[in-house]
Amino acid sequence: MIKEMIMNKWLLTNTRLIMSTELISKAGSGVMAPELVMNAILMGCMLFLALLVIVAVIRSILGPGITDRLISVNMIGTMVIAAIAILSIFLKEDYLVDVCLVYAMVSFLTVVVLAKVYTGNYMKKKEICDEDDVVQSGLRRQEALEVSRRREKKKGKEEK
Amino acid sequence: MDVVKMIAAGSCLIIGMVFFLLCTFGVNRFKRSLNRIHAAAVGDTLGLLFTMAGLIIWRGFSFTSLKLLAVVVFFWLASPVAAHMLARLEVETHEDLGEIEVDRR
Repeated sequence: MIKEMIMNKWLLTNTRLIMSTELISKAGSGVMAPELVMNAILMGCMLFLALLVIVAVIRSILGPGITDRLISVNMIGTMVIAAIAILSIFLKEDYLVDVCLVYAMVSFLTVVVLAKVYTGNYMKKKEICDEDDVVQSGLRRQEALEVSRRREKKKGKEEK
Repeated sequence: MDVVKMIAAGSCLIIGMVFFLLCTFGVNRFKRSLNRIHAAAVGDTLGLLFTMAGLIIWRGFSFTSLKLLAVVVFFWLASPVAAHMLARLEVETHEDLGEIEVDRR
């Protein structure tokens, strides 16, 4: 029973896909049924969004700072939401719109939480650095003195 | 009637795709993070608005299209907040922002 239902569903989806591919082949011969044209436009929009998501992923890998990465991740979220909405109209499945709404909320939450956590970590690190500044500057001075002494010794050895 | 609906919905969708293209192009072209936030906001607002408008026109006015409208409304509320958080992250974690002047608290 369930298998039959799944098979029916699969066939329905597949026929729609076949229809849209047939349309692309028939586009030259002057077939202009509005539904088929719209299916082709929806399919093209989804493919275009997939391409843009790939570009955004490349930007999120290249991005020099954490902010650039977060911006491109946010952008990917927006594009995926648009793609899910188009898919729900393309397949005529209304429940995908709910997925879209939930995805929007999760994507927003991700960005806000990551930004908050990273800022908090940075400020904590900065405070610790400020507290240890006196000690650290002393250590740094000692290190610098030792390094300069070593260099002088090396120079002396080379001269000898 | 169907043809008119198709033309309106298709043109709205294509305008939305153009805005998404501009958004991706801008994010890849600008050099500073604060400029990139500006480019990314174009896709969040106008790109999503035109895409959803096209889908609502094509789907007809029903409960599903109301949900699509709810997605746009939620994004218009959430996107500025996210952009503000990102801008604050950028300003607080970078000591020198070049020629950009920032009022620090």
